[in-house]
Amino acid sequence: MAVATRIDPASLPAPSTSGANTSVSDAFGSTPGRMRLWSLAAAIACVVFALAGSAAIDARSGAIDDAASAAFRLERLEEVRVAAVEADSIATTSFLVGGLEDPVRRARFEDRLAVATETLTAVAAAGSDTDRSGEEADALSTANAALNRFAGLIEQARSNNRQALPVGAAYQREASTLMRDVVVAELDIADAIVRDDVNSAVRSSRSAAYALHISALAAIAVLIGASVWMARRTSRFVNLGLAGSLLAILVIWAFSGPAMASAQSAVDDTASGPLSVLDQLGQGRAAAFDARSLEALTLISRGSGGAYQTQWVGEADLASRQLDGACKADPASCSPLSDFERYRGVHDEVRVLDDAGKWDDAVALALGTEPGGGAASFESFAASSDAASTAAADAVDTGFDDAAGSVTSRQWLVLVGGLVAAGAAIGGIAQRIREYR
Amino acid sequence: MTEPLHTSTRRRFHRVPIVATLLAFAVLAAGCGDDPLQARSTAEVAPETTAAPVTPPTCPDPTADATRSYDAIDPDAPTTDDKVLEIRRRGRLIVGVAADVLLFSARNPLKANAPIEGFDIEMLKAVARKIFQTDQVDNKIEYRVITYAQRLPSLIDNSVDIVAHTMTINCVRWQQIAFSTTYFDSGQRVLVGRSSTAESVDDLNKQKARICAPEGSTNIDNINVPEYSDLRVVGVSDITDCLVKFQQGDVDAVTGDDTVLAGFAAQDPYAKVVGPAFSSEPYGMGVNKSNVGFVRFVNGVLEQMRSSGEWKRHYDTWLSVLGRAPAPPVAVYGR
Repeated sequence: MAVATRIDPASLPAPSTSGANTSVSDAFGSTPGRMRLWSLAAAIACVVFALAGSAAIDARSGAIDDAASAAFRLERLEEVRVAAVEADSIATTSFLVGGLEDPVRRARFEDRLAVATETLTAVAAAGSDTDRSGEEADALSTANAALNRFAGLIEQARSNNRQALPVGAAYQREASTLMRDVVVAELDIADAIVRDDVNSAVRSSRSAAYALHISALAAIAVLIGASVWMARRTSRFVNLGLAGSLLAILVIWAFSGPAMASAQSAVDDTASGPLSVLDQLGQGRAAAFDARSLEALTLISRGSGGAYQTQWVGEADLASRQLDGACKADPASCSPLSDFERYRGVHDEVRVLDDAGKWDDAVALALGTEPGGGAASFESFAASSDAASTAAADAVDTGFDDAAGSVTSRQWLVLVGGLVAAGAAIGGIAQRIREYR
Repeated sequence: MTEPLHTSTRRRFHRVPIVATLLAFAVLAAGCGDDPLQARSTAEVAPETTAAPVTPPTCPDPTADATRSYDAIDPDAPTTDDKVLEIRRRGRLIVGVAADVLLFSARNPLKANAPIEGFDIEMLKAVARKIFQTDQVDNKIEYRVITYAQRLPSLIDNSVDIVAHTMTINCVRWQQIAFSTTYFDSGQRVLVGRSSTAESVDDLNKQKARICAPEGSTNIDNINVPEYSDLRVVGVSDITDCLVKFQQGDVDAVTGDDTVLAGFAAQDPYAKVVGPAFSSEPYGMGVNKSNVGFVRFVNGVLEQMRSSGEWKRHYDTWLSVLGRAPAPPVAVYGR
């Protein structure tokens, strides 16, 4: 066992640069000096674990909040799109009926338009703070202005139709074009940005755990190294301070690591489960309502709406694909698919009638509210897809809430526990150092 | 005191290599894993088949009378014309019409099933009555609503049998389709706001006005000429879209046939039709160029309408707002 030599610093000459190096060498080259080094290393490892680990939990918690917030914006954007396209679909279909509107459909149109504008305002208010927030705000602002103009054009179409003036048809056409070319196009831009926000938040959440695990492993390695070194240099097999510190790190890691994994698992499950289903249902619904508008435009064109029918096929195929995806991901979300396929069947009959020159019969079938009629079958789809979307949105909210709740309390455990472990390690080694005095 | 302590802690952290390693690891790990949301899907729409661009036909003899059509035949006599027999076998006459040209061809939403009504429609019903030899032709006409620009293509590709769509007979169009004799004489004028000082298309040209006309029409051809080079012409697919643009303040004026503009003025009390007609627009029914026998049949129907007073009766029903009924347009034969 080495014995430290104690020298009164006051008896020494003023230290030169080389003298300082010598004294540092003396301070850390001897056994107590090396003990101090191990003490410093163990303390740093524990403090790093405390800070990096709690920061990692904070980062994951923040990323989950960001993901939940972006997912919420995506839900609302989808709601805006579906409400706006449905409003267009109601207005276009109403035009087929003539100047006298069904009050129920009129009320539904007003409701859909109000939902679209109010939700759009809410989405804009809850905008992201990412690099593309300005671009998103511009898109939403343009969409909002276009939506207001759409409402004005529909009012013009309606008042002209009410007076049986043919210019109403032109206003209707202009409104529908505005909906497709501006409102939906701008919502597409915002949608892409928000979609990136969701993906980016989920990626951040995934990467956050590495800091916790690596800092825990590093602290454990340093503490084991210190314990082994101390056992070799002292007569004691176990240094209680170091052992306590090691135990504390292991216990904290055992509590926080699985919680982090569980939180990430909840995020991944929510993102790939209900959020994906909600996304597919939303895209399917928007495409389906667009198809319904196109069906009316095809009939308004009365025999020369080939281009609208071609677009109908594209939108209906998209709706079927998305609804099929939602059904496969969640069997509880299969009603919208079967209801939409029934509507497709009715549409095919409408086309057969129109193509055979039986336009009046085709319109009557498309607007039919009795079972098997176009309006009735589409309303069934609208209702079942709305219910499925609401259920998926609730599941998304619950999933992100659960994920965030499971890690928040662990942050303080890691911070305080890590600092306590650092104190224990220093205390344990200091006890041995004192034996050399 | 919080700030210096905080800074000192951060500095100590930066000195520790493991922190840098961890940060590097975290950055590398950030890109791992599949993104949960894919890019938004878009509808796959089959591309429209477009015909190869063709050189616009030219008129071989601009001085010849474009309203000269094929000689009329008696529509009540037994016919051997393939086209007429084909329509009879089918049981429906397929017609290309407008649905928004008030007085000539517009939906009437006040009636059940919003039928299309107007002077053009009466001409087509008269033809149908003779083809099917019955007065009840409501279920024997299949209406296809087409835009101005679709009038010639829909005849060329035989998707309709006949077009009555306020269509001007002219020499260039004769190179692509065949026309009946004239069933209405119109002229091109301009519609402006009630407070406008413009009295003619020349005034609008001086004012460098924005003026709307439908694409694919003689109306737009008549203003796309050097003498009106200061006009700012806005083309749309259907002339009713011009009224929307006018009411929205996107254009200062609309040009079209006086008959169509009269319909616009009837829909908008803040608009007026001004100036003399600066072109002659004789309307004829269009038929595929190869169906000469069918054109002669239609000319026979028009001839009977002129002489029986039926033409005047329809004029009085639909066009009395334009003034007292003139004599029916004189048919020119011998093509």
